[in-house]
Amino acid sequence: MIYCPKCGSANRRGSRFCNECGEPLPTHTALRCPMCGAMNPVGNVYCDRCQARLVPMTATPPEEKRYEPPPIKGLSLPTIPLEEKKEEAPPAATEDWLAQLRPAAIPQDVTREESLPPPETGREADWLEQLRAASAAQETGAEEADAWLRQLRESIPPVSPPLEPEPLAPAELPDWLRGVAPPEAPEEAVPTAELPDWLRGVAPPEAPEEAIPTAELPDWLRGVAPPEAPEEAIPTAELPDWLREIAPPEAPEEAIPTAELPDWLRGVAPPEAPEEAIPTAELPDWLREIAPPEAPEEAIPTAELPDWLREIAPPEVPEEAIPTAELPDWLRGVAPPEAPEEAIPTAELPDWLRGVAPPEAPEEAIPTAELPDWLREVAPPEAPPGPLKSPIVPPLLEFPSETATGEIPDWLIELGKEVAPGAPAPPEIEAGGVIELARAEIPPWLEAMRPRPEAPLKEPVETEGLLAGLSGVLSPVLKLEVPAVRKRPPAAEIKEAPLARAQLLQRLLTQPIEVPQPEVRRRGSGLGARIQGWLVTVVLIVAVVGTLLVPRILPGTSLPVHLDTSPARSVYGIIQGLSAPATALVALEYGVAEADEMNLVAEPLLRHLLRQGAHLSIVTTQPEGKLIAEDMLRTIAAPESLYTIVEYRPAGATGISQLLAGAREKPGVILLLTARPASLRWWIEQTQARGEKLTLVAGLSAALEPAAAPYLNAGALQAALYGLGGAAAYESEGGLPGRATERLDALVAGHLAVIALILIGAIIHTLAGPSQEGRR
Amino acid sequence: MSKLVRQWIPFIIFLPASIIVLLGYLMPVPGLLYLRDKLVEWATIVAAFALLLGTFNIIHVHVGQIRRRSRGWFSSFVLLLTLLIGMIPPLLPEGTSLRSDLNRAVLDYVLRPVGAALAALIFFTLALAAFRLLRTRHTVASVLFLLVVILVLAGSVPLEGMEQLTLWRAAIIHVPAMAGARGLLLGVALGTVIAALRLIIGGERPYSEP
Repeated sequence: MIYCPKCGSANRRGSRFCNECGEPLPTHTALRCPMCGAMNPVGNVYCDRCQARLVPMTATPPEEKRYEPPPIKGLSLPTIPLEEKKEEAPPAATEDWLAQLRPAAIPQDVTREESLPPPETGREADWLEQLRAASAAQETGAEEADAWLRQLRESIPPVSPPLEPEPLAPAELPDWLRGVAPPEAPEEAVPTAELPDWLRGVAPPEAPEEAIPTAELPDWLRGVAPPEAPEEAIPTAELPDWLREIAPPEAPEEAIPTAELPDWLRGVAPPEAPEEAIPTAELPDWLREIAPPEAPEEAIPTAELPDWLREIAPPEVPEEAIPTAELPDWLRGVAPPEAPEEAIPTAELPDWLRGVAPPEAPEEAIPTAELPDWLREVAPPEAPPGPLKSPIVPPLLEFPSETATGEIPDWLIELGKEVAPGAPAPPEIEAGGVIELARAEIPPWLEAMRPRPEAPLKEPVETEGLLAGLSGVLSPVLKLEVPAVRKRPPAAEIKEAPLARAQLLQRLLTQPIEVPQPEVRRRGSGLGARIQGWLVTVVLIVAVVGTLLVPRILPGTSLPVHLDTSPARSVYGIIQGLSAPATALVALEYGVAEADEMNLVAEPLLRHLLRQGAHLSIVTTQPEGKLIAEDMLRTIAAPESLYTIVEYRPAGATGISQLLAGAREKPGVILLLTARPASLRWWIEQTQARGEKLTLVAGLSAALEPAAAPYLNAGALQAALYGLGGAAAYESEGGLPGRATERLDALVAGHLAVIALILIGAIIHTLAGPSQEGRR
Repeated sequence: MSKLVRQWIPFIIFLPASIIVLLGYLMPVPGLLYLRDKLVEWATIVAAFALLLGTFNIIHVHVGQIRRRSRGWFSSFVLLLTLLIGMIPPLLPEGTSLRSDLNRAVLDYVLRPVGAALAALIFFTLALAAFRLLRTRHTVASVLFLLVVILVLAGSVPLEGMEQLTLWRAAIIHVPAMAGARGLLLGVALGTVIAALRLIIGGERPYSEP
């Protein structure tokens, strides 16, 4: 179900517009609670979470506010015409339910009084009377009109027929008038009596034979239009719902069983056919107390009644009543009254009063003073003594004759006067047989049982905006109440302790992370390793230094050496073959680390070249090569010697290639002095790549002998001199004494010392066994 | 840097230059020799700029370490100080005594002792390693290695009465050692050829790497 946000009526799920007011219905499938914001199913009226109302309550306009009893399914009670409701409801709004019940009691009477011809006219409604009056008006014409109407008619000139009722064709009318336009071309004019009063003055005097049906009139005319005179009463069941309320009540042939009535109606509803009384056991509890005793023809002995019924059961007619004084106290209140002299016959009471009437057929009525309080309010007034009536219950509308007036209470006499069948129908008698009963006092217990319509909550109605007209709308509240200009909050005072902690944290975060390195045990850091290190050091120092110092201390002492002069002889022969103007390209390709060895190798070669008168062009691809060359030549070169030291050549092999390509003349010999394999390869490759036959000799370190041997065997390198031994052999071969011969003894001593250390170490460690690392 | 600058422009320059230089070595005709020598000359100039660029890079890195007080920043400071001192003599006019005296001082009192110490340290380290070899590696290879070392060293000692050892040393150097050296040289030669071909056909582009 979808509840209309405007009128609150329920509509089927999926409806787009309200069936009641036409308001567009929300299409969303959930209702947001205006209080807590929770989403609720569409069918909810109250929030599942906070019980707030989801569907706003709408206050009906005052003119539309009227109480409508809930529809009773299967109930065919006659209803009151609309005009009657309007007259009765306003002054006694609180007794509406009672006023609607009054006509309910009538049909039963009508069925029983079908044979009574006169009272039928008295039960007809006003509209029927007016209809009859209208039919009579056809005969009497305008003579029965009121005086003021006559005067009005006299003051208004009669309207000629061609001027007044010439109706326009529906096609000529605007749309907004078609709805209220009278039916097309009435052949006969509307009878004056059926016109509203304000129209009678301008209506033609002729009375039309056929009246316009009320259903064809616009809404605004129906209220003032006289009721139609139906020739045959339409059954209420065939009428639409909206007509049933104003239609004259049907005369139901069968009364509604009490069991089908709502609980609150059973107490006041007319009892069902008196021939078959409802067993008391079938009545609800609250009705049993006031229910009429079953089977009034034959009174059930009190002893046979259940206990709870004995209290309210009619007392058996005792031959001798027990005096009240002899009863216990708790029974006196509910004890049957002591032998009233004359009781009101139950049959004379209306049905709905029988339930609360005192028990029937006591020979003597119970005095009112002896009744309990709760019965006094509902008890009928004490009746004067008279003959007992027939046990047959007369119908409600069967009012007694004037002669019997003295046997019924006054309030019933007044009621009977109003609907007396023989009397002429008074003008105040309502149509439909409704009798203007005097409003009785409702006992409090009955008032408490009366259903009350739920009082609508008074909620403010929205007056503007999209929600105008809706009630229960939450008043808007500004969400943003902050000023437009944001004020900066005052700076918080920072204490020294948090500031110090923050600074410390910042320092810790900015410092580079230093991963703690595991402590690595230095190899040989033990005592034995240290001793071994010192032993090696001492042996080497003694061997080398001692060998160098001994010749100085003891001149003429030297080691007996035997030099291999074959390599030196090859180099010596090539250099010896150079002529005087020859140019020797010297490639000095070693650094200061190798200078101590390579200088001893280079010196005899350079001295030999200088002695041969060759022009030395010294080039190098090493940054420190020029310094080494300058220092060396400063020592060995004579002042008249010719040599040129070229600046550093970068780019390795490319520089060598560029150097060879840029040579002005072909060098007689290329002397390569290097202790590095790469330089040896570069020079050999670039020299061979030139395609020219160049003589390349090399003075190399002793370590390069294996690397140079392949080139030497292949012919790429013509001759080579290796290390200190080769330099000493060259000095010896060329008769050029130099430092190489002096250092040869130290070299021999050093070699022997190393050999001795290796042997000693091998023996020690073989005997001692390998270390843990060696075992692994 | 776009792909054109990083890959295609260096490749367009490298491909004809390498082919011309290679053809100049294979076919030493005058035109190709001239082009080859010119390209080699340009390469030398470019290499000089590379050396200068490397020098600036060293200065930049070590200045940064000193500024950040990184670990070993003092060594960086000494390196930069030595670089500045070493740049002074070449900047002096050539032929002056101050320039030659500074050069000799730098060589005699800085470069040569340091170089000699490093060489002696290598000798001492090798001697100590040979002394402790059987302690750390008690294997047949270690014993064989020590035997070879002893033979070569003893054969290098030109003492009288050890001529046979000299023959043994010569046999070791000229047969197994030279065989190994030739294998290394052949490997280097083949590697050089393959690298050159990959560079020429564009299979490897070291010049386009970041």
